Amino acid sequence: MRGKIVLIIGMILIFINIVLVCMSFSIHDDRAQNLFLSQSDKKNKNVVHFKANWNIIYKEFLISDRKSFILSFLVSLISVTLGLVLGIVFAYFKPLQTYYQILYGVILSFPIYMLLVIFLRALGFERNLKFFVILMGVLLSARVLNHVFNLVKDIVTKDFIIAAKISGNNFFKIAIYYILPELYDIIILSWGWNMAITSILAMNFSYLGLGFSTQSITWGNMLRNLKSYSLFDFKPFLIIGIFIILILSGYIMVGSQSKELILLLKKVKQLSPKFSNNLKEK
Amino acid sequence: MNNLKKWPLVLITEILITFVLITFLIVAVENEGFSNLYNPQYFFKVLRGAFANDFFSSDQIYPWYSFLKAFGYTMSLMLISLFFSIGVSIHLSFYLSNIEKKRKSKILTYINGLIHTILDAFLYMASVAPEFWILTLLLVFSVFHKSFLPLTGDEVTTITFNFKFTFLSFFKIIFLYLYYSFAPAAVLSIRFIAIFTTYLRSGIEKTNKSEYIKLSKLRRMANKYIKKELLKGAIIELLSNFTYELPAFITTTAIVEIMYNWPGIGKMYLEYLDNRAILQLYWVSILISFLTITVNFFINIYLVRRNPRIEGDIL
Repeated sequence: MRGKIVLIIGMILIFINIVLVCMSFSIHDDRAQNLFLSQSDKKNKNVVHFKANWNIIYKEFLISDRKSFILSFLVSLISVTLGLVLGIVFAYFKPLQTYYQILYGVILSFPIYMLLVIFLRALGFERNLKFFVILMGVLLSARVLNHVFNLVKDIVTKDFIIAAKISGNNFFKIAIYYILPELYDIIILSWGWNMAITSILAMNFSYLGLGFSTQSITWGNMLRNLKSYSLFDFKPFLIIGIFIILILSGYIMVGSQSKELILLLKKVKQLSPKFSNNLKEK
Repeated sequence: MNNLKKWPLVLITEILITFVLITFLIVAVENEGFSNLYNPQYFFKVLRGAFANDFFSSDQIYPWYSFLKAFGYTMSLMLISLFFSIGVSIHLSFYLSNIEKKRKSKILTYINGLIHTILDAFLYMASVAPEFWILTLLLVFSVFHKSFLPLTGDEVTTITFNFKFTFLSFFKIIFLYLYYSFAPAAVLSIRFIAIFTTYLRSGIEKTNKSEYIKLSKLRRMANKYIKKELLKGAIIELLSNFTYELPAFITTTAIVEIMYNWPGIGKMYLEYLDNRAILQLYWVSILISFLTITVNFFINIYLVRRNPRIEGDIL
């Protein structure tokens, strides 16, 4: 019961995030502005107060949400497809299984985060967005690769795969029609984790000023600017941080309850023909 | 046991491939782009071992001493946060996994369920909370409460500056070191408490379903021994997943170091970047990758020793 509640909350959070991303397309102003307005004191004009400009904070939040969503979507797309393809190929063909450990070890040991820092600082982010996406995708594919390899290794020895081989199906058909449906929960799990991890890493990099220019609107830049005014007003820093955590935890919630989600989808699939037959009868 | 013969071969090939890949990438960055004509020349110069001189200024470079010093600070921070997060997550995972089902009153079960949901929500949110946000909150909280935490980790280097070994000074240094490393270690361990708890929890629930645990429960063995066995099974689950959490762990440590001014590898890396000292960056990257390879290697050996049936899966 608790799993279903978590799944529903996660799906609601992801839906809210998608709505926010859609809303952000209507905002065209893509330059960072002052998040706080200065006001002189009524009694003593030499004293200046800073007041949070919530309208601009809201705008920048939406724009940075869109950016991080697109970036993490691309990274998780690359990582999941790479992990799936490599995992299925290395587990399906037995001679390749011995080389799996080397591949897995190299992907893990490659200090991609460190190299990302070098790339972003040395060459700049705007020029090398594709490097960020590809390197992050390669690194995060290790998690998918490990799960997929271990599962497919077991699946390949099962009866329905052997029957499919005997009946003359080639590798591509078996992979798509027989192996892939067994891996849906892993795809959802790794998709959710990779979306969250990429957003956090991009946020950390932009907060530290690595690669992302200070003029660009990102969550990291925004929180850094809010932090610098936190002596006057701490609320915006706190509230925006909580909102970001809530949005990102939606991915983790859905990912961790991926088995529940697949059961739900199966139930819907089982119900749908009956529903359509009933309609025809009526 | 035949597979054991492959281990050195796998280790050497992993090291060689990463070495060549990192060299290639660093060369590409140094010459600003992959299409530069001077890349092959520089690549072969690096492979010949021309590390002692800087490429442009031809000055002698001795990064080893500073690197080892920074490496020590980073490792200490990582170990403190690792021990803290594992210790907390073991207790949390035993509490959340619902192994013992005792008959309780309705109010108690309701309160228990409420605490479980709050902890679950905390774990979901802690696994995605950005480190800089938590660190800022922690430091602001300390500022408003008589500054009970240091604002930067710079002063940790002064602790060992005039060190004379006596019984009291030894404990004083340990206390001061823990005092300065409290904030970054706590921030680092928050996400890893969440991640480790999920792995340990699933490991405990898996081993709880196994027959030897059921048998030992039927024999009414002491709860202490059953918990010990459950923990052994859970640690296997944790270690097998820890291999792909390690790069993320190293990166988050580096990020926290930069933010807290801790004199570790992360801060050193940024200083090298500012000075465009590509050769030092190259060596640091290679040593970090070798570190991950060796840690993964020892984890694999431990896993095979614990469960010889998975030897074929690992190697």
